[in-house]
Amino acid sequence: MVRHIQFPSNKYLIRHLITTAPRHSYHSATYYERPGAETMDQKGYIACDFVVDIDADHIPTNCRQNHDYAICKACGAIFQGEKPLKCSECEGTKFDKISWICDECLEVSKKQVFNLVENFLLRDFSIPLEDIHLYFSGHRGYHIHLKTKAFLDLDQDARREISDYVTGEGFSFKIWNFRKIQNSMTGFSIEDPGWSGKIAKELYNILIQGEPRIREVFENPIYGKKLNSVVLNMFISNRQYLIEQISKKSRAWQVAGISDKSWIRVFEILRDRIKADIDVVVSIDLHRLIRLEGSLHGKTGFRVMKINYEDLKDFDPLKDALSFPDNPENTLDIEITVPISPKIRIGSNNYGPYNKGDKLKLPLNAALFLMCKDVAMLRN
Amino acid sequence: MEIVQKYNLPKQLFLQFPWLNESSKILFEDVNISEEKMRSISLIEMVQFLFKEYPKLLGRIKQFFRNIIQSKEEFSPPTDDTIHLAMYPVLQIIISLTGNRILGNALTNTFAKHCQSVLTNMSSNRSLNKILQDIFSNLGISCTIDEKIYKNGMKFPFQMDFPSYLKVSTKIRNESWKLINRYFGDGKIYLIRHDVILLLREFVRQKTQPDYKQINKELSTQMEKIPEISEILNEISTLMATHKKRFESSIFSEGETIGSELYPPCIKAILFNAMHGENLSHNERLAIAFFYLNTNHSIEDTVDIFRTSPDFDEKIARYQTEFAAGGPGGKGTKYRMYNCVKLKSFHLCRDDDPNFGDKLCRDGAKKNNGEIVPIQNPAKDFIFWKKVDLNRLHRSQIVEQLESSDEAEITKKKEEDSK
Repeated sequence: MVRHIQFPSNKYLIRHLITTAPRHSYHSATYYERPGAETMDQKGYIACDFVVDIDADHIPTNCRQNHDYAICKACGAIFQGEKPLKCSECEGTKFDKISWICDECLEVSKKQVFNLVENFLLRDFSIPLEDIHLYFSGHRGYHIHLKTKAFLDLDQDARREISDYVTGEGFSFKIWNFRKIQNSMTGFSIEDPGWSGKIAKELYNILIQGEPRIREVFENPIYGKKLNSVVLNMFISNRQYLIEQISKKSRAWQVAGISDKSWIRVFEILRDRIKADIDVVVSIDLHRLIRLEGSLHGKTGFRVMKINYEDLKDFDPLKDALSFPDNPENTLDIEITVPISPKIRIGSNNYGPYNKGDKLKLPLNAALFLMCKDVAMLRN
Repeated sequence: MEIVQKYNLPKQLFLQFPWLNESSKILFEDVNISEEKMRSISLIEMVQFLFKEYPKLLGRIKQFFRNIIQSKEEFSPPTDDTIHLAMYPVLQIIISLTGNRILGNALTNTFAKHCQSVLTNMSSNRSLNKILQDIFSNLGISCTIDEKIYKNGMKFPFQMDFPSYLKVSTKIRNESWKLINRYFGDGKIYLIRHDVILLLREFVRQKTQPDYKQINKELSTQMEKIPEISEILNEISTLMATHKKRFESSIFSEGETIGSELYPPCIKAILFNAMHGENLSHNERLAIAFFYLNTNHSIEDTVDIFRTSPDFDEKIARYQTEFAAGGPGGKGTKYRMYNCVKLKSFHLCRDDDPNFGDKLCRDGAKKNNGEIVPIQNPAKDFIFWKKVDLNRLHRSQIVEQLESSDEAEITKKKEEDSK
């Protein structure tokens, strides 16, 4: 890895990229007095963009079970989905991982970008849309750079606080006065700005959709255990009462038989639906390296590219971020080198699944993707 | 009440709060000297000039140090005259000369609490909200007022922009100050007056922090030749000698590696702050006490940590430590150490701190079979895995030594064979 390079202008950067052709290219999200200095102490910190990384890798998705694989390094046994702790064949603990992408996980990332921008950055933080710089990361997600003065000068504690806010970390039921005193339960008002209002709104939106939706949400939470069935039934039978209370902005949410503990579980499930799934470590780092716009991602061959927020809805990474024109004549001869190469859509065609030893002639973008994923090699 | 037109604030406040921007202008007016002239003279000349102009300044400064060294977090009155204004730059210079961070933190604490006390006592003043807004404006912080905003039946007249709020709220390290636990929307945090006064207190604590690099060696030598400065420094040194326990903590000394090598980064950072006399937050105090009490330290050892605190009161510290340990005689419940999630939410986690950070906290521990175990509790997990790590290091060193001695033996044998 080559680090601490400073270029006097774009011309020198491009010349460097052409001559060295790195597999991955990054730039610092931090502004330094001397960016080329060898050590962090010598660089002279000035400020840092607030960078948000939304990556399907950090978000629980069902599709991972279908398209990710672990291959035991000792015996070659193949496991679909998450890597097991031990190989069931030989008890080996070391695995090669095949992490794939599909429309579903790319869509989940996109949804999280909408959630973050609409419900947090625009509404709560009041960031002007023109100050939100959105990039496709070239792989499974998106990067958002906030370059306004308000964000540039934030220290690490303040950045963690913002990250905690969008991820729903540290919500205190005690502070929000959510408690059951004798038979009176104090809830939240739908009018409240911030998280208490968000929880009230989310609960209301689920309740008005009726029993099937309530069951779907509380029986299949994103994280953790499902809601106790007795509590869930009480919840459903008191649905109309709760809808009325919330819509008339009342905080009296008492439902006989639902304990504080159960209410807290209800809110945890709601919190996980409201929060934006961001990679907190990236946002709080004051010396972060981030993929260079216009470079190719070394694990896909896709372009790291800037996207207008208005265009995000129709943005198709598997089509719009391809590096080369979709020309069926322009092909490469490759050979699959791993036991399984899952299915992938590139442009409007599907490729795979393939098996070890398959010899293929594929269009350039598809062949490049498989080689970047380290599942294929170029044939002479 | 005389209002300084340019800043909309009563003159009295500029006298009481010398840390306000432009307070120095009131001082220059009082000594009838132009700002330009004042800025052109050297630091030495300025200090000499102030002592000459205000004969009572020497006594007031000495009294100030007597107070803070005895842990009295207050000024001796009066605190609303031009001498109070003149004290401020001289106090900053003296603290820089001593380089003593315990004194520095005691100074910031005194100014911060004085501000809180003055403003709280003005609660009957109808224009207090406007005054608070003007003080923030003077400090370059945007805080607007809308007296009609009510939340849950309570008036929330202040709205502060989130970057200003986060600048200090994160230093209070208490979950009630977390953004997520606040009414927050449109980039603003809705606050009651009490909150605003507490936030201002924290701003003052930051604003009055002495610049320890302000005085170089040469300037320091010259400054110490000023008779009043020399007299004050002598008095400080005598006073500090009589309060040895606070200023020469038996546990730490400046520059010493803090704590045991088994301490997690969060604890090392709190100990470092304690050593420098910083006013530890409520959660920092609890975290360090819980950690010490859960790692076989005595009540005495635990109380000792707080001796450098600007508001140290042995009786209170001992009572609270004994309570955390399960009460006198250990009859009650002994408090457990906070887990890592809790510490993170209090902004006390220092896993990637450049001075205290530890890979073990960031990446988790690696078992021999390659499984990664995340560190979830600093008192249990961290210490256990740190020991494992150190043992591994120790073993690998032994292996290295053995291998190098093997190599030496083989080389020796080869040499003998060739002979």
